Amino acid sequence: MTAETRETKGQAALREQLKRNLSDAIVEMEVEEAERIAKEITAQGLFQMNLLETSVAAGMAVASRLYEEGEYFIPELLSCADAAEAATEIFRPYMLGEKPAPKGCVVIGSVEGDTHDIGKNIVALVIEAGGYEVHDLGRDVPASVFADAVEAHHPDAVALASLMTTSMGHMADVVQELTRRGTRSSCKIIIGGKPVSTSFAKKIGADYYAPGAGEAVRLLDDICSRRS
Amino acid sequence: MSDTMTGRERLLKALKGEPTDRPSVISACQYATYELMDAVGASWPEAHRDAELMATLSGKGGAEVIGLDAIRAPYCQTIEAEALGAKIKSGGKTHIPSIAEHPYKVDDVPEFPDDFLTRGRVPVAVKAVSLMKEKYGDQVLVMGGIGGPFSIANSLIGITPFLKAMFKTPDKIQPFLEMGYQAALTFGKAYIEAGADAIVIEDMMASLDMISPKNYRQLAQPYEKKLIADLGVPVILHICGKLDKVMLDIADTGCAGISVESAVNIPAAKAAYKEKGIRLPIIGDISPSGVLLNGTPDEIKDAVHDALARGVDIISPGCAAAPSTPLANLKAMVEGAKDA
Repeated sequence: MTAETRETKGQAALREQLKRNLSDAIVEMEVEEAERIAKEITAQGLFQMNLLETSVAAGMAVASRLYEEGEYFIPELLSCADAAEAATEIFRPYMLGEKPAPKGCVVIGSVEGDTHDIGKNIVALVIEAGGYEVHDLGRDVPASVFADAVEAHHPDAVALASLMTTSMGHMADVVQELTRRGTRSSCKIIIGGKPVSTSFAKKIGADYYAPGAGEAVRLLDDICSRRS
Repeated sequence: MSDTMTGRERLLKALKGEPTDRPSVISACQYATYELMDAVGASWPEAHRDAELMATLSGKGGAEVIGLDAIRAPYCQTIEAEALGAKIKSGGKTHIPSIAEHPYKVDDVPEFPDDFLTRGRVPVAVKAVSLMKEKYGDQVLVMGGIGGPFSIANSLIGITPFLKAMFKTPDKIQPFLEMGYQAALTFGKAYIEAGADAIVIEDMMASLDMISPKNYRQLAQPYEKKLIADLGVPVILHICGKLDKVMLDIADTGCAGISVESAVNIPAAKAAYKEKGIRLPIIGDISPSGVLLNGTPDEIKDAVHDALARGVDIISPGCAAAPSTPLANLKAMVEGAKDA
């Protein structure tokens, strides 16, 4: 065994360790610690693109699960997202030119009438860290803007969020607008948010309901693997 | 079986836990729907800013068309924020208004304005309550709707900055909670002076879908409790989400009834109340995004019977009715209670 491969093994072990530490720091809401570990990874020349998925997204997936289990609440989730973003910021210069082709493309937004975007932002972050190209249209987004984005980006999926019973009806407007413009069959429509459900998705002609960020990524992986 | 009590008598007795001719049906949160607007000739967006139209849509719509035991105004939770400086985006014919721009940043020190009651839509909602009291006050309970202090405070700086500050620098949100309390109390007192029999507090942001039980106990519940004591009339407290861990804390606010969604384990809450000798009626929990929106009238009647069997004391949608809810479905809640 040559010295070179031993060194590579040592580096790989260190990378594994730092990867776990970064994931833990995100789950533990330690923003400065996440930033510090990310800096150590880049300073040691250990950065690899897959860290975004195996460390950053993995940490956020654990945080989302803790939320679904009632262990974490929204303020905790927001702090985890801050830590994930701090690490991603450090990695960003190293991602240039090295970025592998995204697994797929997603257009996401909160539908018209809904100014809530916490859940949507967290889902967008987890999807992006999960290896997808994400176009976040923001909150209170009219159906025509979703349809424009579908024409511009040709996404694999459109993800619609609504937190209110008084605005969830406007998810149907997006489905209808895509149908009207002839782009409905070009992408899958995933809906999420507190008042909606699988039966509501079916009723308005959407394809899927995702109860959380982790489930959204699993659905996307499924959609994109079937496509290829 | 025909009714032998007025809606007003029925609901007042139900809130006290006394026997009634049949189960009481209300809508603790908003119940204006497109079909209801057509039925009474008063629609959004005009009804948000015109007291006569608001009183027609809520009063005639609730008391005469749907047949509820209580009528309420307004429809959205942005009135306090608007009066405190938020920029509002009209919801047009189909939406409720929403906040386009929050009036404060976390580091600001807010000051409660002396002329709060003259600002924005506050006088509209107060006037609508007085018109409803005049016309329907002897038949049904007239309720004024306000936000909870925690929810109003959220609307002043925005949910994300608020929740982050709550987690990291909780001292900074205290002035906003105080301001939320003052706005809610001032608004509520004005409704009572205008003739409101009861107040509904919607504290949707104090939900355990958003914050932990500990945060609810420290930052939301004490303000709800103080507000309810200071209002001095029966108060229905509505909070969304899965509240199982704080159902006893909610009872401790002194509210006259707690309005909940189907996410709450009602038999468990009833058992806990019984054990502690608490006589707090539970209001709910017909799913506004499920059966009420998508079901048939027969399915809704079944849902009403099922809710009563699980220990619900007063029937209501579990949250705001979606505006596209069929009118026949809202009426079916009342029919379900009549044949219960």
